[in-house]
Amino acid sequence: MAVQLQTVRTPAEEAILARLAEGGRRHTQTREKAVARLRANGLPNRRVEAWHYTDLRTLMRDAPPPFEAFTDDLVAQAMGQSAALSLKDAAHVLFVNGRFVRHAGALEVVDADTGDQAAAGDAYGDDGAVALHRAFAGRTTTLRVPPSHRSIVHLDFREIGTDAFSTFPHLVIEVVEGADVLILETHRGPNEIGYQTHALIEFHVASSAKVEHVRVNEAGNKALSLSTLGVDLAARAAFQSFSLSLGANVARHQIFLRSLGEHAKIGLAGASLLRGRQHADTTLVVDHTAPRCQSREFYRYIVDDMATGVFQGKIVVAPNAQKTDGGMKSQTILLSDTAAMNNKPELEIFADDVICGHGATCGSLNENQLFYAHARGIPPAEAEALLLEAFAGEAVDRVGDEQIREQLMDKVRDWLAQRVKS
Amino acid sequence: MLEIRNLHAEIDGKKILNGLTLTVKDGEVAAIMGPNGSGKSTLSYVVAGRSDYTVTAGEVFLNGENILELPPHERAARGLFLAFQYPVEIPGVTTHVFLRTALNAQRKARGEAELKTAEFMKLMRAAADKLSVTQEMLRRPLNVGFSGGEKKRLEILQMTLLAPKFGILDETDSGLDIDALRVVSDGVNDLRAPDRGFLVITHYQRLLDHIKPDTVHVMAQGRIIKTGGPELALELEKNGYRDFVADAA
Repeated sequence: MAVQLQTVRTPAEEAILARLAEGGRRHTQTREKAVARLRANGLPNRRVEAWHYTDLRTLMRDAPPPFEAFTDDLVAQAMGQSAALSLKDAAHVLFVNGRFVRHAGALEVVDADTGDQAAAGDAYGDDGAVALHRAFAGRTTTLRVPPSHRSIVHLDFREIGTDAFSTFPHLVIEVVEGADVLILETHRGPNEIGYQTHALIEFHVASSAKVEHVRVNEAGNKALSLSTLGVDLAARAAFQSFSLSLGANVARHQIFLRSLGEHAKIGLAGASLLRGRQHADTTLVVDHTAPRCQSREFYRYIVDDMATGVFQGKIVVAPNAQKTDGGMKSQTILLSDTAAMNNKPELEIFADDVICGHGATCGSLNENQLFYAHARGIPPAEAEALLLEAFAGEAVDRVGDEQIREQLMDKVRDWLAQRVKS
Repeated sequence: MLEIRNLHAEIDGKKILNGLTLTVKDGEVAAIMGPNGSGKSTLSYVVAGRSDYTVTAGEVFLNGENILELPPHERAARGLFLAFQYPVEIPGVTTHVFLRTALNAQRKARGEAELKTAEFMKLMRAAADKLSVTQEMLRRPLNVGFSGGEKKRLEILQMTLLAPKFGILDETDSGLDIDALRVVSDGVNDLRAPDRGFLVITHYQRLLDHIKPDTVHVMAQGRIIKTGGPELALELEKNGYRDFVADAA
């Protein structure tokens, strides 16, 4: 007889289940499954391997209600604020408190109360955070990226308000055959408010299409910011994604990527700059299901004060995915004795003719480099900032678009300047 | 002028410098020669202020000021320059950004106006041309992927730009072929001036054919055991260090 361990539900879990019991949401198979999952398993926690280092049961103290009070005033107020980053010539797609508000520019956008969101099935239906998202998400915003010329899209998520709330935006981005698109995704919200967001973005990238995705997280300092990217790549598709994580009290960015056709090219990168008691997690699964694909993952963390970083990277190579070329690297600089980093690289290789490697480093700033800079007259604080900027910069360099790269480096420098001040 | 008086220093409890005394006047080029392990590099690090060494006794004066209490960057701002035996690679920091940061940090520390980018570039280009340092090298990350000769040329370029009052060259000839040795030596000779002294640390006479010293000191077991003119270097080249070391022991 299997022993069933009954865990006591946390107040957040109680609140979530009570809210789901109220009803008022459309019944779909996906939602029913998600709700059943939440009932059975509760929030993802340290007993679930993928969530071992980011225990939502502990980190999610409460479950604020989904934001409903959309008014014209609210939208006007949101539009009066600035985005985390700006991009010239972009089709601007604005989300306020998780809901699609408007878009400008040449792009086909459909926002609808969807039927069954995951009818086709996906690789992350079992994820606890995705279940939570699906239990509450209402609408789906679908973007269709046309072929021919290069499209530039700015997904601008702004949170505003004075009371805690939660949001569950859902996007589907269809990149048709041969299309080429740059997608900037920015998140910005108020400080001192314990709001919770989870953006679930699903990319379907057709053959020979090219996507560059850049994400900037500047959520408020008390926010819980979850993010899930689901990516399916057809043959010869190229997908590059970079994430700069600066904000939020607790952040988790997860990527579930599958290469479904041959010769797909994948580049995932990120920089996380953490201080105070911030917790930031990047968890990715790159699933090579077709032969001759290439993937590169390159992540850098700078962790100060009592902050915690998490990197979990898993590369899976299916039996038929011969000639896969995979390389993963995660590097961390810890700036204080109380900063922490958890690194978990994993390779699951079932094919015999592949090149796959991973490396993880964790340490303090290099003393030789520091002394060299000091000996040339650069004062300690400035020397540290110079080295840290360079360290983060090597990750930012993975971003192809120069306009974005420059703005990302400005943010890195701002972060470092605050460090020197304090 | 650099004056070192009775300097004792150790690392991890191991004594390396044992009462070293040495004076290098303005305008003078002094060479220090000595066998491996005699403490030559330690001397350069201690004078530059590397924190893993502990000074247990003695004083180091730069133009009359005891610099031992100063952190390395302040020693640099007061005009001390150390050309490293092994220049450090700094990935992600382009060479010209590093140079500008260093120069402006020193200027700021001395209360001088920081150089604007255009002014700096002009200065840097002029110095780089002389040392056959290409613009391409200046755009690359500092010392990353540079050959031994390129690294040493870049050290001299930095010294040229920072225009120190006193330069210490720590085995600047190591890893150089004949041509690179000449370029580097010419760069140093160009910087010789009545108000600037040099301490040239080397294993071999070879470098001293190009950078002609006024005085030669022999170092063994952490102190200077003999001082002479340029002829002393030739004598060492012929007979080796054995006699001196035996005397010192």
